[in-house]
Amino acid sequence: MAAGDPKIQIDITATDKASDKIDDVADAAADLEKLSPELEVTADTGGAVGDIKAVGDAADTLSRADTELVIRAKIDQAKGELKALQAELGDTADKADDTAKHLDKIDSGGGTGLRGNAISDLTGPLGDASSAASDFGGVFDGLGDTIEGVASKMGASSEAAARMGQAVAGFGFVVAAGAAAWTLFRQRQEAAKKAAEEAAKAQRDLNDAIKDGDKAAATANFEKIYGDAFKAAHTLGLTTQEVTEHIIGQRDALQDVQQWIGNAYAGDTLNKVINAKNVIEDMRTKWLENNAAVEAADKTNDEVATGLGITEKAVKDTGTAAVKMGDQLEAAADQAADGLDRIRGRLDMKRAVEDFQATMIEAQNAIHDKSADTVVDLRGVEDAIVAAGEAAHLNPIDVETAIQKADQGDIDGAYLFMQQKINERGPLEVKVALHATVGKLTLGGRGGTTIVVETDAQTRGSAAPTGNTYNVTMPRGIRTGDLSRALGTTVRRNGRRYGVVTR
Amino acid sequence: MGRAAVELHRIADDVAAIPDAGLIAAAKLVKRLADEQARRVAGADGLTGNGRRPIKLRARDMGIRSVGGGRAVLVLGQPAGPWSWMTSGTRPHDIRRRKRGPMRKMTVHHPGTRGKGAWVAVIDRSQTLVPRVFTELAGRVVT
Repeated sequence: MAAGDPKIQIDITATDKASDKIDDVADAAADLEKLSPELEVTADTGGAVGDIKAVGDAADTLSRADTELVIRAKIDQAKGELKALQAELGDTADKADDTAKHLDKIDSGGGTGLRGNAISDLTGPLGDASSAASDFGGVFDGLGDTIEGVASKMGASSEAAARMGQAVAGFGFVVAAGAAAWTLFRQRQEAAKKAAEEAAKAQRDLNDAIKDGDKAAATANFEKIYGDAFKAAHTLGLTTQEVTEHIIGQRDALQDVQQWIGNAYAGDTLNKVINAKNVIEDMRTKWLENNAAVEAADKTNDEVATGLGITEKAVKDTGTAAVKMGDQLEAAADQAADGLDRIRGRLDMKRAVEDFQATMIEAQNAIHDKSADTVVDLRGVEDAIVAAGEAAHLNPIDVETAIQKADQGDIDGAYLFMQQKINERGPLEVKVALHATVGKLTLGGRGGTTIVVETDAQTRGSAAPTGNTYNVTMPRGIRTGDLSRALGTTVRRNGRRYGVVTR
Repeated sequence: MGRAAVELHRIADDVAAIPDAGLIAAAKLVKRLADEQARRVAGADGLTGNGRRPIKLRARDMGIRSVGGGRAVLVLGQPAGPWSWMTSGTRPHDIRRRKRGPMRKMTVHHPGTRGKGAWVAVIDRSQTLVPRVFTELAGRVVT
């Protein structure tokens, strides 16, 4: 440690001289408080008391009168406010009615569900109800086209339409895409369903009529379908009831017929009977097939309903996935924008540093060339240092240091100092053009790297191969090869030789 | 005893307690100032050598002791050597070589350092801030 250096210690002392004095004062005060002084009043106070009483009565009267005035004024004000409130309530009710009528016109009695109490409640917050309700109705008219129209085309229930209406506020495009897919699906399913239902309707009506005991309807439907069978049976002498019971499986009328045929008829008559029997059997087969078709149609309907449910869920899932994908796309866009901002910031910094380097190299040239007509524009150098420091977000102290170096004529020092600070700020890759006359630099001091420029030694013809030795501090990332390339000669750094690199 | 006398005695007791309370607060303040200054001159990790364990610059107090008619606390910068290097620098000297190579030279020359006035800065800031601690304490007692 050099002489006169501060000791690495701090001694803090504190002395209390006040508390004793304060205690003394406190004791003196205690003694003083022990005294009990008496003060005699000899003046006549009777008149004064009377005057005070008179003043008090006057004050009471005055304050009571003031209070009554204030209360009366407040009551009048409250009455006025009540009247105004009543008038406003009346206006609000009228506006609510107007709004409901307006929506009636827009809705044409449809299913918007906004008339009645709901819109009356809305008129308060809406303020000027007539114009606001008009806007509101217009908006809802468009929404109705979008939501309910699409939903009704899709065949959705009213509840489903309402849900779609709520959903469209958040992701309308998803509902639109889903509606298109749903409509196509529904069109194809409707065609198949219609054909199946038409085929089964007659049989189902007949079954219902039989089940319900509606004889007339059952008979009409039965004859409509199985008229040929009745005609054939009648040729055999069978009654309509017998044929019907045979067809629906309640009795085997044909067995009786066959037995009767075997006993009574032969020849052409037998052929007719056989034909009639075949027709009746065909009709029974048709009965069974129709019933099977009805079961198949019911099963198909169940499958269609299941398919529709699956489709609805798929549309909802698609909507959820699309919303998620939209969020992800938005986040990606934000990240891309941030990245571009960072790139712009880095470009700004890079260009500011390049301008700074150009200015500093120009100043170096001016100094090292020592031209008679060269004047270094120190202000330009200072501006360049400040601009580079601002772009690189350097500490103001560092910028001030560089400016002081430049002001003192140490352009090289200011340049290398700033470059070093800029390089410390981050991985900004800036091509540093070392000055060709670096051999004349007077850099030195603490740290640094010893550079030996061999050409200096060769040109002087020195016998020692050491050449000229310079102690320079190179910026971070600068290798000795860069120095060799800038000088165009071979250099040594800490004993290692670096040849000329031509690239 | 009357109210005024009681209040005055309370103030006297509080004033008598100021030296110790103030010294504790002042010692903490000086140590914090030393830590800040150490981080400024040596970095958050301390003085990092070439592969050696970093040297952390700290300050510690030696406790309150009685001196003369009052009380005192001593705050030491430790380790004193590195604090001295960071304050006054070093003269040129030789150090052990750090790289492998021919064994012709076992030492290399170190040019010395200028120092950064680290402990001087701690002293300067303490001289400004420590009196404020006592002033604030006295103000609290009286009011």
